[in-house]
Amino acid sequence: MHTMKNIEKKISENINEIFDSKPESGHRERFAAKLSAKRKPKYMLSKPYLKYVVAAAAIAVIAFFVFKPEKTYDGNIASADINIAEVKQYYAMQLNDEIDATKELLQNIDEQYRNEILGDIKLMELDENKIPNALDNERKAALIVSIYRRKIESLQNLQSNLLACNK
Amino acid sequence: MHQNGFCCVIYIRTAMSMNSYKEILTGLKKNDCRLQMQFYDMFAETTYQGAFAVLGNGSEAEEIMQDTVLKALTRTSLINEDETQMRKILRRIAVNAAIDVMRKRKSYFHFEDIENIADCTDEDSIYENMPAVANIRQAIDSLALGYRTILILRLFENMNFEEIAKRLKLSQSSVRSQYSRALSKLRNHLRNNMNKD
Repeated sequence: MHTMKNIEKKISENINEIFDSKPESGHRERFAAKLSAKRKPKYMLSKPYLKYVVAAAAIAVIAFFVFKPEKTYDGNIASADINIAEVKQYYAMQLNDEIDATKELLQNIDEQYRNEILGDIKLMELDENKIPNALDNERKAALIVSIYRRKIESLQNLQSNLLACNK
Repeated sequence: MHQNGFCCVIYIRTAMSMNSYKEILTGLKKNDCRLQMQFYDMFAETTYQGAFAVLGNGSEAEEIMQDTVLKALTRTSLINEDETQMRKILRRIAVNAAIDVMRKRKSYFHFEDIENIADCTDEDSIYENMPAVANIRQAIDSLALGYRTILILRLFENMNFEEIAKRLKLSQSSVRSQYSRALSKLRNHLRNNMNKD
């Protein structure tokens, strides 16, 4: 027992020396990087304005679904042998570009609002508009263009609002 | 040029050392990056030692130490006006975080049966020369994690058995006996090493 006490005493007396350890070199730099990441100002839009942006996005999506276009196409597709797949692909690409641009602008806003808007965008990405088979190619193309244009315009409006917020 | 650079270093060092703990705390409120780093410099080592003593792993201990300091810098409620108290608080947070890491490890409290350890009371030989600090450190490192943790919390963190039991979610009697066994194992390890020498 005496020995136990001796060991205990010896450890207690030399505790700082026994457990003397230092972090590996470069720890200050690693911490500075962490600190800097934490300090990086995250652009937060004011909540009232964000509500407006979210509402605008929601209205755009709702409007799109409520007012489904019928014969609104006023483009120059005149031929009866229009390739529907190509038309769709062309506008889908444009829509994707707008979605990417919008998502980029969303990076600086509060997570809660970002998620709401991303949810709306997800709805836009869904290709739920069935084109009636009974329509001829020209009408089908007109309908497709109209649907995509509305989506693209909605996104562009949203981008303008987001850009205004970022200023 | 070289001399100017040297002067500059001196100036920075002097400037840094000029800030008292009180000044640092004022700077923290203003989110002053330089003073936040001074706060880190002030407490990094002791906070690290707390985590390292429990974990015995440098990179894990550094992670815990930095997260602890960062937590204090972002949560003003953790800041204590007294430097010594602040040191203790940070160290305790780091030790607790290290224990949490330990607890996630499966083999954490795998203690040996008492039969496998020589009874300490029948040890009648007293060291003529007490073992060197380096040997004690090596012997502590050789202990199983559970023993090591209890020993460290008791001797390094000055916790009483009740606190240790609470923190490790063990019974107080179990902590007492594990502590006693840890010391016994430590002594055996040291004795064996001394005999080898």
